[in-house]
Amino acid sequence: MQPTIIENKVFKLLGCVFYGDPFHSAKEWTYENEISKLWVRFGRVLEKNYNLLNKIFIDSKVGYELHIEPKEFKETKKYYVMVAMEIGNVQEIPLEMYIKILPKANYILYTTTVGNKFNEGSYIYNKWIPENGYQQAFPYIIQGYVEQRYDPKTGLNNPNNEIDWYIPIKKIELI
Amino acid sequence: MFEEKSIIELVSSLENSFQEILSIIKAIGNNKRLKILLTLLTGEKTFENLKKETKLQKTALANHLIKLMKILLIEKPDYGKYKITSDGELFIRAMENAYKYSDIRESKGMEVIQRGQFSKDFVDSFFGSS
Repeated sequence: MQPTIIENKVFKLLGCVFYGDPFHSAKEWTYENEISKLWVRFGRVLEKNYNLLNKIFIDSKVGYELHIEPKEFKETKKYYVMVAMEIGNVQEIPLEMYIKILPKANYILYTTTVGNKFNEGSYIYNKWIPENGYQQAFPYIIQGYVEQRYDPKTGLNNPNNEIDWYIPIKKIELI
Repeated sequence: MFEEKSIIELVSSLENSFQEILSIIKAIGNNKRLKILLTLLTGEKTFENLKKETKLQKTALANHLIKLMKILLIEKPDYGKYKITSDGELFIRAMENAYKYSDIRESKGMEVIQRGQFSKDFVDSFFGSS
């Protein structure tokens, strides 16, 4: 699918956070790694606080997975992962959850299937973005899981499930 | 320096002085005139000094100076020398003060601190798993 540009978007997310190497005990894209465990934890908090959270979430059918690279990643191999949903204005949230307001940014949005997420993801990041005169604006990436296109029951085992990718971008600065 | 007014008092006060305030904003809202004011903050200057520092032509500089004098942001107490008035300094300080504590500055600061791309290591570990 051809990438599209979303302008001046501010993601305000509410969810659970992990910091560390999410693959220290299990490989990428398996159900045993820390990211999968984080989704399970998020699901539990969601279930426990459904009445409150249902009013807060903008669309409870869309989940987001935010990956932030901190400055020390090179030495530690640790980074932040947040699994979350988008919110509007809130007064109170469950203690186990955190709110993240990302900077206002333009995003490239593209969709891949689970089956070719790495090939297409890598192509967009490494080729499409620079070839179209853009560069990454902030060191994070967001994956979006829309329930109609990503069936949580089959998840990563269904190669046709789709994942949306949001990368904050800016025009390449010519020096 | 600033008295705390309620929003109603603030609006009423601004509405009462609307034209005067608008004239001041218009006078300051020009890059050359703002530059003149900033130059004069450091001390009195002759026309020639200002011409050199602002890189303006004689007529243009004279016009800007007239506008600033008319609105009493600068004055010319001695022959040949221009000086910022206490009002002129007050407005410049108020602007700087407002900007210093504004969300605009805060967000710009955060933007500069946070900007950046993934490291090659991160990209390799993130996308290179195929």
